[in-house]
Amino acid sequence: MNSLDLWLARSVLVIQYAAALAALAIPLSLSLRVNKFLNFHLASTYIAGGYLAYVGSKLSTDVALAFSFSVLAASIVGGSLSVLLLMLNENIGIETAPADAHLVFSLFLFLAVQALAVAVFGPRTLLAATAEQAGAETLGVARWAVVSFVILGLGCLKLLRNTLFGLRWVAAADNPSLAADQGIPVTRLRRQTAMAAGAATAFAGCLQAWDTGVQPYSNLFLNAVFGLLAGGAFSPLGAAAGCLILATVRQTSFGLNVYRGEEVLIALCLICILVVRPRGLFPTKSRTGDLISE
Amino acid sequence: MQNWIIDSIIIAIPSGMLALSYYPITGLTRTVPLCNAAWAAVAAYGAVLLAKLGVVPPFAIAISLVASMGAALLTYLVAFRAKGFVQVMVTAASGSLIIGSISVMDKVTGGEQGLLVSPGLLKLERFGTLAVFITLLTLSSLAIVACSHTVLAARLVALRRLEVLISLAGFSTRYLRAISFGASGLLAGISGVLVALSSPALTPMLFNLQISISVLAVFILSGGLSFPPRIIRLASIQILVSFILQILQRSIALSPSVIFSIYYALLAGLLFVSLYRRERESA
Repeated sequence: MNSLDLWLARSVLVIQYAAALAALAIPLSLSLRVNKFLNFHLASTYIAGGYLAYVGSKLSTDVALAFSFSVLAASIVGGSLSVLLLMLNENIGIETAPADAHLVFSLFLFLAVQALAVAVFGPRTLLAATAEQAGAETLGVARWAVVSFVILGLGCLKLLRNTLFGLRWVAAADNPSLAADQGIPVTRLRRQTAMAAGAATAFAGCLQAWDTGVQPYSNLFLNAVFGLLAGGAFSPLGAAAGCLILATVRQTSFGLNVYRGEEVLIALCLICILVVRPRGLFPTKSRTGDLISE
Repeated sequence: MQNWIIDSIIIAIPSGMLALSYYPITGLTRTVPLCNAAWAAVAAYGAVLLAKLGVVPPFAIAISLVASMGAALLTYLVAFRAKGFVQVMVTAASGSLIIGSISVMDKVTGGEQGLLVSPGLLKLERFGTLAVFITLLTLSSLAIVACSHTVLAARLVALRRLEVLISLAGFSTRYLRAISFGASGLLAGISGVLVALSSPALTPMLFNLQISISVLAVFILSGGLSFPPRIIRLASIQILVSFILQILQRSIALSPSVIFSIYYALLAGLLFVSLYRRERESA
């Protein structure tokens, strides 16, 4: 393999990993903007999506049928679960730091879901064997499906931005009390966003499970959050760009051939970016003033 | 008392100390750090490595405590420009960086295989491990209670809501927050040293992000956010929780993953009830 082929192969890997991160970071960004807290419940729905893919693979030996069933089931279960968990969060808080209370609760619930999944299914990577049986063709489809899903998602968000729904959503996200005064159903919009974000992350988890297997202790979600912060927390496009940067850094770390070098380099990269630009590399103009200490 | 009960208490006390380390930051200023366990790791590894290099144990422990304070202050330097969830995740990234670096430097720290702590390395046996642990925990608790009645603590509490007024009154909010991070780093460092004293080997798994999150959950659950602090309740609940976990691991014939899932599920339920009650009270 000559150097150009090697470079191309590495670029494809970077794009595929960046898409896997962005598939989580973009719903997280939408949820963050409208719900005002970093919603780690989406990590729970992501894991649920992965294990539904595994269950689907056990229900049918026909890979196409199992894949379709698991994708559909993951989207429905993920969306519903996300709304349920958000409704739990609507009832809790700490007077002086409600967002942090929500974050800690969702983070801890994620640990509980992760531990439960490991207790039921075991700590090993599942589904990889089934995916291997399906052959390289199916694996390739699942991998590129994540990339297509991210590109389509970004396109849909761009199209929705200037529709009535998009404008109402932005109003509810940026100034909920004023939006409520104007008759916009803020709570309903929040739940709709949670449902869409939950369905999207579970869908991504399902696709990822068909690609590389369900990995209960994967760093993927944490890296997606880091990508979101590196790119700009409230901007889906910025989140995708941040994920691309971190995926490039991760690929570089493989060249160093150091165990857990990936973790160190990604954390270091995020810290460097946030020291220089605390709002992230591509921040949106709205809703960012409260993130920086003046 | 049976040996396994003493062992369980000895393992549980460092997590009680780690819970106390959240008080200066989360309890007073409502900032949420996710890297206290990583600061503890700095002190634990520091003390053991220095002792192995031949430094007198008390000096090794003192230097490692200073190192953990330094790590906390460095984390603050990275995180101080951010607020809210960005700050929380920056502390998580710092913790990840510290623990990842420990794993990467496997020739010095033993990496994932762990760093063996030979018995008597830190010369504790002559005093009795349990007595030293309880004394340290009691002294730290008393120090926190005493400090919570000072003007400095009142200013830190004021930072929660009246940050602008505090700066208008001529006090540096950055200096105040740096103090809270430093104090938290010191307490986390003591916890790390206790882990080094009680464990046969140090591994990065003992100090990972999950440890920080679960201790933080117990901290919130046990009323650690109140002022003045309910220190005794906070430390006792954390020790009790760790103690129960130890007993479960020793006595029930279930796999560790099942025990941990029960443990996390129970804590998540209790955390929800605690935060729900807090919300109702404030409403």
